[in-house]
Amino acid sequence: MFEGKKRTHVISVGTPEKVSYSYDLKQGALLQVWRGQFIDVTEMWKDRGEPQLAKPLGTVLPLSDAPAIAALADKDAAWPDSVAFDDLRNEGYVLDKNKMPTFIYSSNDAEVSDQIAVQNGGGSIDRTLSISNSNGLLYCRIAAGPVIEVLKDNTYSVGNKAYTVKVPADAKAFIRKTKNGQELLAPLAKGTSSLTYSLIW
Amino acid sequence: MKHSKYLLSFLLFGAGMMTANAQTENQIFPIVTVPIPKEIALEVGGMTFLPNDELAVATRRGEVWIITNPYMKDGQQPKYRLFAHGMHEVLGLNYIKGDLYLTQRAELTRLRDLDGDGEADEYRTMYSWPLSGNYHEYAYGPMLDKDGNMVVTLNLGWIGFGESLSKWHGWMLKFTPDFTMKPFATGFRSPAAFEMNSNGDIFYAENQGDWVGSGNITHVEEGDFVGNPAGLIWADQPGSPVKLRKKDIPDTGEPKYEVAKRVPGLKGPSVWIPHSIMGNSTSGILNYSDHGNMGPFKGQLFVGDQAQSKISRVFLEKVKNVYQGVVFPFREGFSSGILRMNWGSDGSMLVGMTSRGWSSTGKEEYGLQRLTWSGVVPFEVQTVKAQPDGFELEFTMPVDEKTARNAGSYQLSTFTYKYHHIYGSPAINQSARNIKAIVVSPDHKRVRIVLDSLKEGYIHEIRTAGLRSESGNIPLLHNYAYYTLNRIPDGENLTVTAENKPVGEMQVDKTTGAMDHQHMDNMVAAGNKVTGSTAAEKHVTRQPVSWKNGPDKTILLGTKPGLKFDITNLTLKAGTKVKLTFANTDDMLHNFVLTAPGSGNIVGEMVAKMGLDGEKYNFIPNSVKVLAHTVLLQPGKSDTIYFTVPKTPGIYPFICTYPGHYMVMKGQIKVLK
Repeated sequence: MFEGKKRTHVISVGTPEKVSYSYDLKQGALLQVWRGQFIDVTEMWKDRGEPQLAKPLGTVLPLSDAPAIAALADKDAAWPDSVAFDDLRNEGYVLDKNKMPTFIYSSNDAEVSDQIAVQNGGGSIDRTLSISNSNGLLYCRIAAGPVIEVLKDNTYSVGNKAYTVKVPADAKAFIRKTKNGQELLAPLAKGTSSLTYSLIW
Repeated sequence: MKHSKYLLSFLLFGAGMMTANAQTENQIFPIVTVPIPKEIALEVGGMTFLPNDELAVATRRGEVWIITNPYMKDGQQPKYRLFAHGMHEVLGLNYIKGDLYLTQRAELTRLRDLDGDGEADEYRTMYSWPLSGNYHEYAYGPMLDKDGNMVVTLNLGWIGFGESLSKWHGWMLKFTPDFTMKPFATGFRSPAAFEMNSNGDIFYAENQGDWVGSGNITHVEEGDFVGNPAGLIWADQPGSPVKLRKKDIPDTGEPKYEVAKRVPGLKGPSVWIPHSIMGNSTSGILNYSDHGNMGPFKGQLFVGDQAQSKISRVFLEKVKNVYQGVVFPFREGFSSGILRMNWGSDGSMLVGMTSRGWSSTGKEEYGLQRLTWSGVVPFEVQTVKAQPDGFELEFTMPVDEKTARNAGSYQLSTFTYKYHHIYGSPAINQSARNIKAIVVSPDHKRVRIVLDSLKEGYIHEIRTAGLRSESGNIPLLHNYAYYTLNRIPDGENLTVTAENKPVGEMQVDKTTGAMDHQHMDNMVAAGNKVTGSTAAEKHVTRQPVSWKNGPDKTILLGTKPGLKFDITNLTLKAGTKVKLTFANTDDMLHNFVLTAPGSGNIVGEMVAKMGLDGEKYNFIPNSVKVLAHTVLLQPGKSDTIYFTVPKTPGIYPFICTYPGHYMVMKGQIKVLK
């Protein structure tokens, strides 16, 4: 479940640092993060597995169910709420030596890999989005919230300090207004490009 | 005292004589349990052997375990290691072209161990399909077809009836070697298993439900519509080879065979597997290829049953280009609900099981067993082949001519099922068939039976309890079979002569007039057949006039998923006037039956002996142990009954008597003074 809606192509990942997250494979979206125990799968593993819900066992920080990467017609075009089922081809994931996954998919004619790594013993996570073979300029939406406040050192506070993100100095990140507030975007150049940002909460 | 002692030993001796030469399944096909470490919940969803003879098992909890030495060779225990985990209800696993492929709910996945550490580290999504999130949207496969495509089936969701809530559910899909998806056929309800026969033709296993009168296996070809209309909503999508649309499917309750005559594209079962007798939920299919060593049945199919923890044997033949054939009992007594079967390298059969959510005769939550063959040839009907005027039975060893020529050795009858949106069907249009001639082949291995008539499209029950083997005079290991006669073959009828006229009379039920169903009453478990209850006082649906002040107590009883009543303990005073409404909110058929103290299991077991008539009588046996009951309720229906709590204090069990449910779906009324 995310924002009252059952989502069907979501993977939840728990880590030894007791930081967990849920990822929507059909949107390339980091849905939520939480600390504490992993998930309760009673409603998937008991009897017939109804109603097919995995419940986070911790205080969840909701992020976004919108795709992380999009092509925009121009710099002012609205960020898409979702990608159509057939417009994003989820290709699974590869585990690193610590058994942590990097998700792979293709959308907007680009190959995307999305790696989420726990940092500082669970204090934050680093998300690295890498694209290859893109035909044009793409954008990554790093964060969205009612307000985004610029702090020092390329750090931003999102949603009245619900969480902060830190982006590289050369990311060319920018804040823009949306219908409901603000969002933080960064461009991903045509061809091969990569962006790593940290999420601290 | 002395006298009775003598008598006792005599009886034991007599019993020994009776059974000394009868074969048993245990003796001929021993089952070996493969131990599972306590910490592993091996709820088997898929199984496949790896080239090094290790067994890979995928589970409903999304794990893949690799088991070394499942045969327990040299007295060594099998070893388990976790290869992959964190997946979503894996219900199919296969080793294809050097890789492990499996189906999760949402996708076809390939697993690879890239760094060679013995664990998968690449979980590659080869194809992903939509889901609604309904629990009933299972996915099965893949299997490699004869052209090199992978085959997958998708279950319908369940919302009080089967529905295709997201694209391609209710379909069989094929994937080309580059993983382009091609919709192949639809009409599937719960296609938990499929397999190729030795010709490379695909057969799938279906479960009783809406539009499915009874479990069956069906030959699937491109563009087929196999019966449940829900999947037809995608038939107009690009790539669909299915021509039928939902509006083309009549809902008349006629036999499917009759409907198919005027609805081209509707395909009936190749072999019906009569519900509650041969199984309740058809599951794994295993082709008896050269990899197996399971007695003289090569080329046949073994078909598992989840609810009844047993395996049937199917012989198929093609008549007028249509598959049809016969199902025999083969082996019962497995430890849990059978879902998957695979051949081991030694020809034994690995049987993977789970009963979570759907109970099974075998009591374990899950299990892994190995079926072996002792080498002793069972005395069995090996094949049944349709003839223009009857059937030819072939035996695994010569049959005693005297019993074979005697009409009294056989009972034959025909019946079929309704094709409609309602869940399941009673056996309908039952009628007995008479034998006009019997010819035994010179080698005594074949017997041709000529009948008064054959009924095309019908199931022909063939009972052979009177037959004995030529050598040893032993009875058949299994003496009943069901032949689905889709086509009557052309050919010459046998001329009935004085020479082939049968000896003796066919067994008929002499207790009553020769009504069809009364003959049928005698068919199953001859000798201790249980009849259905017709006692109206046990099913009172209007408040009795004498209850001037209404009921003393009103009870609303419902269901919970996983075969449960939502109330399991009630305490009532003797003589309480009860109005009870039982609402079936589950996805299967259920009833409520109040029994006499200590009789829950007894009543539940009686139902197994009701045979084909069970459903017609709501699975209520005619017994004093049954005190009150509802009708058998379709999903989403309810029934209100009135009964008076017995005067004698005690514990009165209540159960659902739908076959196999009573062991788990039960509760009790504690009656106080």
